[in-house]
Parts: sequence; C-alpha cells; structure tokens
Amino acid sequence: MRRRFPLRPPTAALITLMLCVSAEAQPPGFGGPSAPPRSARESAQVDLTGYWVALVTEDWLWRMVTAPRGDVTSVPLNPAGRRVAAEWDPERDAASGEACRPFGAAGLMRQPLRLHISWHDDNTLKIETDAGQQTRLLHFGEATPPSEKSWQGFTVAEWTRPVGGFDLRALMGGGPRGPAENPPKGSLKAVTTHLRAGYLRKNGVPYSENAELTEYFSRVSAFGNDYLTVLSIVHDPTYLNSDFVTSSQFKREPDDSNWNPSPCRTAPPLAGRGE
Amino acid sequence: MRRLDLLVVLALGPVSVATAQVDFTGAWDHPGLFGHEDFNDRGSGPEIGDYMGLPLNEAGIRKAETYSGSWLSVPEHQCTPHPAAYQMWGPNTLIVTTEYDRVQRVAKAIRLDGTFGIDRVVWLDGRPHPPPEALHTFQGFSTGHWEGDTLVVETTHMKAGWLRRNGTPTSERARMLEYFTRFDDYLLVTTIVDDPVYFSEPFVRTTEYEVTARPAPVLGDPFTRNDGPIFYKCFPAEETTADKYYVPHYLPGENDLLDEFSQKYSVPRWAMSAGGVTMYPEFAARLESGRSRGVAPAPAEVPPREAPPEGIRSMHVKGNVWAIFGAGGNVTVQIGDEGVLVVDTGTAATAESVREEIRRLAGDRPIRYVINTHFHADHTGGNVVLASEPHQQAAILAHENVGLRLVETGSDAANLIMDTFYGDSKAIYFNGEVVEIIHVPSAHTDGDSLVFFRGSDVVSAGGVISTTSFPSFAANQGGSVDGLIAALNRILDITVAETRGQGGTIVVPGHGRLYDEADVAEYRDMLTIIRDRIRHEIDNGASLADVRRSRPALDYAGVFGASSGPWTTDAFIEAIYRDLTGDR
Repeated sequence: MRRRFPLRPPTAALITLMLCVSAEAQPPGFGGPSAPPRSARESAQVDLTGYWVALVTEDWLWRMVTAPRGDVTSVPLNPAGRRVAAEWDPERDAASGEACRPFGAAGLMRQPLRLHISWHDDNTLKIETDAGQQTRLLHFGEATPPSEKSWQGFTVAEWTRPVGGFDLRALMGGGPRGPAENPPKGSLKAVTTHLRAGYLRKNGVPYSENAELTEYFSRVSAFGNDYLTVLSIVHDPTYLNSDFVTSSQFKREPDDSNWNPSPCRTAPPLAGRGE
Repeated sequence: MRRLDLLVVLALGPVSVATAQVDFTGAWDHPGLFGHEDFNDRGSGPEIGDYMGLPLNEAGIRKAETYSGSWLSVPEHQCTPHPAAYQMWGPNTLIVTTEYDRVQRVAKAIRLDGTFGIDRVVWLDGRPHPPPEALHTFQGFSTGHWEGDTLVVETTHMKAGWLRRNGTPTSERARMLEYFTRFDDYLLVTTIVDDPVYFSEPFVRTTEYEVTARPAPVLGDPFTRNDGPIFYKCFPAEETTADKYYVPHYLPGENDLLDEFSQKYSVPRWAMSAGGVTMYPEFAARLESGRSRGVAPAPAEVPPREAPPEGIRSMHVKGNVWAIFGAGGNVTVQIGDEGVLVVDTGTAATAESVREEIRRLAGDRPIRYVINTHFHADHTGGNVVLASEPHQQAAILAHENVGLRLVETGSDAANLIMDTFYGDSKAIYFNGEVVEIIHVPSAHTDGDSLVFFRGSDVVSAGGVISTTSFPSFAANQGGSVDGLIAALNRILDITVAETRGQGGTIVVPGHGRLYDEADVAEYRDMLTIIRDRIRHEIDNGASLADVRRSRPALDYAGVFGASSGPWTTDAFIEAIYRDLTGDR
C-alpha cells in the first residue's frame, strides 16, 4: 500500500510564502527587504481611468425616460418607501434646491450619462459625471469621513485582486509585469456611506440617508471595445425590504469630445404615460 | 526528493499560475428571484415594440417588427429553449456544476443550466471550436478560460435566436463573450453579443445573481420544484386550427401592436424603431424635444461570410452517415458492411479528391450506389469517377427528370446507366437500414429528391436547402417557390427533434452546414415570409421595381444574401416575383 507523504519543508515554505504575500507589499525578491507600501494608484488591479458612456440596454423605460409617479417596478420598497415614492414632486425638489436627488451616489450610475474617471491624488480616485455634474471621490486607505452628509457621501475603496492565482515570477524577483504584458484582472470595491437621501430612479423611488452603497467596478474587453461594469448593492433599512441590486455597463470613449455637462434636472414623464 | 520539490515549483516560474480560482458551483438566483432590473424580461416577457436600448440595425428592426408571438405555436418552435444570448437575462435560476477530469484532476468543463434554457457546456480543456459546417444549437458551442478570477466564455455555433422574448433577433452569425465574476455573494455575468447581421455594434448587458441557500432546483424544470426529479417534457401539440404549415408573421407596416405599445408607454413610434442610438444618453434629450429628424436605425452592412476552409473535408453526421464538404455541392456518404452509398458526387474537378476521402473513411469497401438529388453539375459532376468501381459500376439512382436534364445539358454523367424512377418515392435496404428516395416536385428543379436514411436518422436534402444562400430555383428547370416551400415542409414531416426543438434528425443540405429540424423550420419560415411579402405587394399592384424597393428580404439578407455571384438577393427576389406573377 502506498503511503501518502505530507508536503516536504521547502515546498511547504514556498507555498506559505506565496499565500502570505499581499499585493501592497510584495518583496522584490527572495530574502530582500520589504518594499514600502505602494499607493492605490501603483497597486491598481484594474485601470478604470478614462471617459466612459453609459449604455442603457436594460431598464430603458425607467432609466432613459422618467417613469410616472408611483411606478416602482422591481424595486423592493417597503410600505414607507412606497409612500414616499407616491409623493414624488420634481417641481418641489427643484424649488427646494434638491434637484440633484436622482444624481446621488445610489442612483447616479443608473442615469444616462458619461463618466470621467481620473486620479484625484495617489490614493483617491475621482468619478465625475457630465449629466448632473457630480463628483465622487473614492478614498483608499485611511481617510476621515466628513461630518455632513452629501449627495455623493463618503466612499472607502479597496482593490480586490484574484484570490487563487499568484504571479510566481514577480514573487521571485522579476517584478510586476507591466499592464501591456499582463493586465491586472482584479476589481475595485467601494462602500459609500454618509449619503443625503436621494432617488434610486428619476421618478422619486427613494433611498434614505441611512442607505449604504456597495459597488464593484470591473472592466472587460470584447470585440474591439472596452467596457466598464458596475455592480451596485443598496442597503437601506428605512425604505427597502431587501438590498436593491443592479448592474450597469459603460463603454470607453476615446476622448472628451462627447462630454456634455449639464446641471441636475429631471425630464417630466412622457406625456400620457401611466395615465 | 527535496531537489525535485524545488524544481517543480521553479518550473512554474515563467508563467503566472492562474487556474480555476473561484468556484461558481451551486444554484444562483436573480436578487429577489425576479431581479431588480429587467423586470419585463423576467416576468411575462417584454411587449412587442419594446426594442429600445438594443443596437438593432434596420434588418434587426424589420425582423422584430414583423415578428408574431404566434411563432411559438408552430409545432417546430414550441419547445425552443431560451437561447444562450438570452438565457441569463430571462427568468432564470442558474445552476452551475463542474466536471473534472478524473486523471488530470482539473476542471474539464463547467455546465450552466437554467430555468427555461438548456444545458450549456463550457469546455475548459482547450479544445477548438468546431468547423463552420458543424451543427448549430440554441446553446452554441462554448469554451472558457480564466483571466484572474473571471471566467471568460466564448460561444459560437448558435442558432438564430433572440435577445428578448419579443422577437428582437440574433442570427446564426452571432458570437458571444461572457464574463463570469464573483463578488462576495454575488455573481455578475457580463454578456457581449456581436451579430453583424442584426446589430450596429456589439450588445452588452450585465446580469447579477446572488447565491441561494435553498436546495438546487431540478435541472430543466421551469417551475423549480424541489420535491423530486421531474422529467421536463416538451413535445409539440396542435395549438391552433391554422393550417399545418402556417408561418405566423406580420407584413411590414401592418403590426398594430406597435401602435399599442407606443400609446401605452408614450414612446413615439420613431423612437421604437431608432435602433442603437437609443442606448446612448443623448437620446433622452431627443425624446424630450421630439426631434425625430435624422433618427433611423443603422443600415445593415453585413460583411461577407468567412470563406470555408479550402479542400475536401468530412464530418460524421450520425449513425452510418458522413458528410463531405468542399466538393462544390455537399456529398453524403453512408458506409456499412455492404459497401458505400453516396448521395451526390460534387463537381467533376473534385471527384478524385472525394473518392480519396471516401476511401479514407470506408477503406476498400466499394461504392455500390450513387443517388443524385438533382441534375446540377455540382451534384452530379463526380458521377463518372465515383460510380466507376473496378468490377461493377455503382447503381445510379435518381428521379427520371434528372436523367432527362443530364441528357438535355450534354453532361458526361448522362453516358452512365441510371436507374431512374418516376413515382413519389423509391426505397432500398442497404447497410442495415431503409434508404428512402423521396421525390419533391417542382422545387429547386423538377427532379429533386430527398434521401432519408431511416436507421441513421439523416436526411440528405440536396438542392432544396443551401444554408449559404437564399433558396434557389429556376422556372426553366421546373422549379418554383411554392414547390420549394412544400419540399421544406416535407422535410419537416420527416424530422423529429431530440429535445427542446433541436437535435434528433440531422439534415445534410446541398450546400453549407448541417441543419436540424429547428434550422429547417427557420429556413422554411424565411422563404414563406419573403414569398408572402412579395405576393402581398403583387396583390397591391406592385411592379418588380416596387417590390425591390420594399426590400422584402432585408431581414434575411445578412445570413443568406449575396450582392454578386450566380444567385444574388436581387435575382432571388426577381425569381419569386416572376414565379408568382406567371411571368417566367
């Protein structure tokens, strides 16, 4: 009968070393001193920067156009949320300086708009929108939340890297390979709190200031195009029965030639719809 | 041994070790079961007219706007599963299982099954995609690889299908890339479909699932019962009193459901037909302003099909039957203990190569029978070579009009002795099965036959089907459009699908790839619909020029059309027009 041997010490040591190495502090080689922690920009697992345009291929009747008041189709609103949705009045919002309610972080990425993503500094990623002219700041590492709530709230971000693979060549001193040779395939996780109450949809489907938004940003390339995908999970015990989960997609644009800034504004529902 | 341990690890040095990193195995639901987006696709289905947000070009819009929901009452379509390009979007509990290679101890394939879809296999073992002549399926042929933690799946060989359950089409030329990424308890599936026939640009959508703790539903059961295994039965039933071969469709401009949708949602008609521009933010301003000027779906500019591989090649079809491609017309070969039976012989120029390929498949077994489905030289040109066995000429079987036409055209094949028949059919028993030769009158020509291998469950369709062109017929050779449609319906009388409307009886066409019942039905539908459109125009007094301007074949030209060569789209339309008007 064959006996099953445990891993021998050198193999076990190497595997342990590989599993312990983190993306932010990879040694330049065996036995070398630990490198200083790299910035978020340096350790980016995916390059999200650039201009992106929303492709409204889903939920068109609720995203491209404004649905009638009270149309909360497929949003898991609780009775309190439904009451608020039924009272939606865009003119009142505009008059009270709250026209940006549909452009708050929890609803922003579902709007038909363009994004400009860039590095605000080495540890802060910035997302700007043309429609609504909003700016989101995604903070990596230590950051202090603001005392006030805002449309875009306070976002803490982290890179998520592939969990099961490792780059042995980088581990053994070859250094990380450049994006062209081996583009990272991780993603960005962002958690947003400190939100002002806003709308999940243009027609006043509400989220409260207790809402927490979790997002996963990733990129795919196909058929000559580059796409950004955003999975969004809104947790709001005030107005939702369960988490509200959607995903949205954007296509990369070569430059800012289509960038068309406009203030927060909600078009009225198409005349006759829902009547 | 210690040295060996180290070497094993070092040997991996030049590559980034990236095997299957995330286990998707299990059952996944859309959040809230029906999901928080795409509600219309998860419930009763989107309405006719809801074409916004899709990159449809003018051909795609035409096909969508003339689609009738009664399509699903057609017996051959009743069991159609949700095709791969739609499956993730529809009402779907996604069940993922992994198959392991027991020797290599690696994942060999991932299986994706869903509520109304059909079992999809994603091969991870590096196998190539099949050749273009292979059978297409609703799930297509998928291979996968890992990029980090994302499973990337490439799918080809999909049948004509749909993007949404309201007739928005995808063609058999579509390709699909999917990205499966797990984020904590969520699975995000990004689907990108590129279809040069119906899209102006690739279509992208993202679908999210959440892990479910409840028991995995029974595979293939649309109602996700958990109280025991259920065999998901689907077999066609007579659902209407319509004619057996009725093909439901709307004539262009006559679908009143479009106005109904427009009124219900206050979406202007021009916006419903605008195609790809409706996906982009600018469209919101157009809608609000009502500016419809210049809004139109993109023209259908379809690149030519990729040329098939050069040379003679063969493929096992089913049972005793093989198909040989690259000989001008397709050659069907039945091989058994009694010898070889050949249906059609290709061109004279390729005859020696075809004989070599038959020898490769059948060894030294002699060719006993040659059957000609019709007289054209790309189907009879090899008769002289293939029928000339050393000791005894193979028997050549065909309808008598084939013999007459061969004599009329002075073909070399006319010098061979032929066993012709003039009735509806002839049958022989060879290699353990009945081989039935069924005459279909006045179809591609006046001498067409189908050859049905009963035991192998294969039909050789000859000139009745060309998957690479519009169906062709010549009135001066006795062909007609109604005869062609009748011949296609005759094939559908023979074929039986294996499961969910596909597989089962396989059809070897005269040109192009293998078909099954669903493909033949789609081909029959296409010819019937175009015939009906042209006939309607004629009934309204249209001239040939008028008919051409109405582009009755617009939505099928990207699959079957040609702008040059012997059988252009224009020639096809003209032939139908002249046939229907009696102006031959």
